[in-house]
Amino acid sequence: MDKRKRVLALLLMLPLLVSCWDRTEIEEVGFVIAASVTSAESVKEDEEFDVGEDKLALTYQVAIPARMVGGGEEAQDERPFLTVKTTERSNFGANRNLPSRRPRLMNYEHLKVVLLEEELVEKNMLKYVLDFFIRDHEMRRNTEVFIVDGDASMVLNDDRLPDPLTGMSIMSTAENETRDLAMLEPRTISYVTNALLNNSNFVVPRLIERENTSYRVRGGAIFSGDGKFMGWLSDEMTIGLKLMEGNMKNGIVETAIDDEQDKLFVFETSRMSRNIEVDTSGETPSFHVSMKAEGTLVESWIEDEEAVSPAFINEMEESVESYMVDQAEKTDAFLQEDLYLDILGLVEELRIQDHELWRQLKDDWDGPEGVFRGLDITISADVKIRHFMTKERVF
Amino acid sequence: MKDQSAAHYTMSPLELSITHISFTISAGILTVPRALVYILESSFGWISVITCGVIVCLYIWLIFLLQKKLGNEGLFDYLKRIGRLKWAGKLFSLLFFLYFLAFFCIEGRILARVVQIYLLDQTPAEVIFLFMVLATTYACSKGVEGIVHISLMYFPFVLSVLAIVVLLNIGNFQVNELRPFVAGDVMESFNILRMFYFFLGFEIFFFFQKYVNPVEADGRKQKKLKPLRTYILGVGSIVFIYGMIVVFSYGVLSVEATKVMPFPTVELSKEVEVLEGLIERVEPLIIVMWIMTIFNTMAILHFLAADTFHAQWLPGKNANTIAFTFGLLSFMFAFYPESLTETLYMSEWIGYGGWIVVTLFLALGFLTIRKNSRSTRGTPADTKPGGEVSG
Repeated sequence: MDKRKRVLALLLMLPLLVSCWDRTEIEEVGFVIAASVTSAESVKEDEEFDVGEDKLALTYQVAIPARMVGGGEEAQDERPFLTVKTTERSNFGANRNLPSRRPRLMNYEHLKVVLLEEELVEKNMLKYVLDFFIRDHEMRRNTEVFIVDGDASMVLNDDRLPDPLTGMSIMSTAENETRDLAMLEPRTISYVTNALLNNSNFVVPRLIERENTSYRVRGGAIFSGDGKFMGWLSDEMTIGLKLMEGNMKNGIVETAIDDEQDKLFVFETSRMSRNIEVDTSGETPSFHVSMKAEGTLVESWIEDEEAVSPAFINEMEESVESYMVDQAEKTDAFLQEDLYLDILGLVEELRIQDHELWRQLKDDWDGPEGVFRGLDITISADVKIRHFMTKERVF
Repeated sequence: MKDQSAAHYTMSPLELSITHISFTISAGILTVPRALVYILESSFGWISVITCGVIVCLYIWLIFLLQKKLGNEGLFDYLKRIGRLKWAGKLFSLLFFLYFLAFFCIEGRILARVVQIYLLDQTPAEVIFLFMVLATTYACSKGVEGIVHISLMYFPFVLSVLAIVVLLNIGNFQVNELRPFVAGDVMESFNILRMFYFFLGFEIFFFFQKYVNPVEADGRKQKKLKPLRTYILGVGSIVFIYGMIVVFSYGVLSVEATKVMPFPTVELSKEVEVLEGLIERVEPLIIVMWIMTIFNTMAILHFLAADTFHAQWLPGKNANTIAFTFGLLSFMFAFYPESLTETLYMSEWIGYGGWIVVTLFLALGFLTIRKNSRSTRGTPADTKPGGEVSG
């Protein structure tokens, strides 16, 4: 009896060894830092993507930790990563092509960026392509997404000193959007998924591949709420969009007084906000976007004795204001007249301020027949130049 | 089970309240935001949560009134003592046994699946479940005292981990996702039928209230302790915890995204990134915390089912055998649903079943005790309850 009990106790302790099933040695894992999804070469450019028939081409950038230490001269000829390319009908399928080719199993817990090729998203593949990257439990929700203008897999083959891991350097580059009005805020997988689920239009930053020189993160790709690629947002349109989003951060405005090109000066923003007023008294709602910015004069080429007088500062403020309103209006016209697509979040604003009206209008908001196209949108700006740094005028 | 210790064991209302909180927020904490959004199709979840809280308070108040009439014994003890009500005791102990068993199986199954999805994807779910059953069997062999103390020990950890997730997500929080706070379809949020089962757990007041003894060691009644108020505050905490999780899931993940996630709270913790990637993954922490609460709940379920059944049907037998049988049965039933989806679907029905059992039991209590109000006085158990407590 006693013996039997002891044996039973030992048997019952077996489950304590559960961890053995999930043991992974760090030497046997390849950490994927960046991934790019393109369509395989066999897919013709002007044809629809035939799901289940056509193949995706996946390129993974896998870190080689041993080469990351040390650095210096030798680091240049031994890159701290390798790229693997494979084609398959689905993402996960492509992933399972790799075990037969590489000793290490891929691990996505440190995936930083996902690059999607323009040609692929043009064929409305965004939803399908992203599914794997959000569904799998290893994925982070804050992996960043970029749409690549050019060959996405080539981007990952280049190392960018001083950040040799391309995935990391793209991420750091995207963070610099605070300094450049033509750069969009980085967008995470979580953001894109939520937008798709909410059926709200969204913009994803664009990464421009420039052969053998460097990439550039500027502008964006516009998608409708159902994941359809609607077109590129050019650098100039991006400026207007960021202004209307109240998102200038440390962006600059380079302009001249009264459009006289020789009176050039630069205004750097330090604070900015935006307010949208909805007027629902009319038949269709009308919107008023008011932007408020304050900042500094950081460069001025104006040779004028009066350059520091309050009246003159006012004049400068006015020209910055008119620049902002101009840019915003250009973007607005592009969205209302060319794309018929609201990426300004006006429909959201309506939802918050007049729920009932929003319910009636939300379903036919966008599109050539939609409400958005005919909306009356007015834009105003209010700029304050707080100081002019350490120097009053040009010599 | 340690029957002897249970006879002398007393706890404070606060201890009972904490046990109640940990018992209630178990599986619910991972799935409540999604369940809410399914029902409401919008972001007024917080109103429903508060409504449910109010109803729970009502139940607790009724059970409290009932207990006042019963004095120092539980409703089950009373039914057993009154000869012609023995059948009711037996029937309800069986019903509770089945309800707790089903509940236990569902919780265990969800646990096994979550661990498999997020932590150990190669470990078989059966092994995880088996391990859990062994642990709860051991826990409930330690009697009511052990069970209550587990709740007391785990509670601060659970709270702090939830607080970490909520605090670190403040930066990701977008108020606009929740706006407008009140609008047209707000009445729908009072339709709480399909979410009330997340608040089940107040049935432990039937079982544990008899241990609450507002009498001090020297026999004096403690006037300062207001048990009912403590219990209501406990419900307040549940509402607050659920409310925070719901509001943050909607504000961070957005209402529509919450809809498609089986476990929004874990996804919420995946949004967190501390100090630019220094601590990138918080979800293992959340899952470990959650395993603690779910173990807690499962241990309580296991104990209550085995203990009640033992007392009503087989008082002569060893209580540990019943606990063991319970574990065996649970292992067989837990893997009956074929998938996670089916499990979650069944949990809803078990919730309704439990709600009905609890309500019927409460009604039975009120009916019978009013009739037998004379015989409750002067029972041996009623005399000087605090006298036996030593320190």
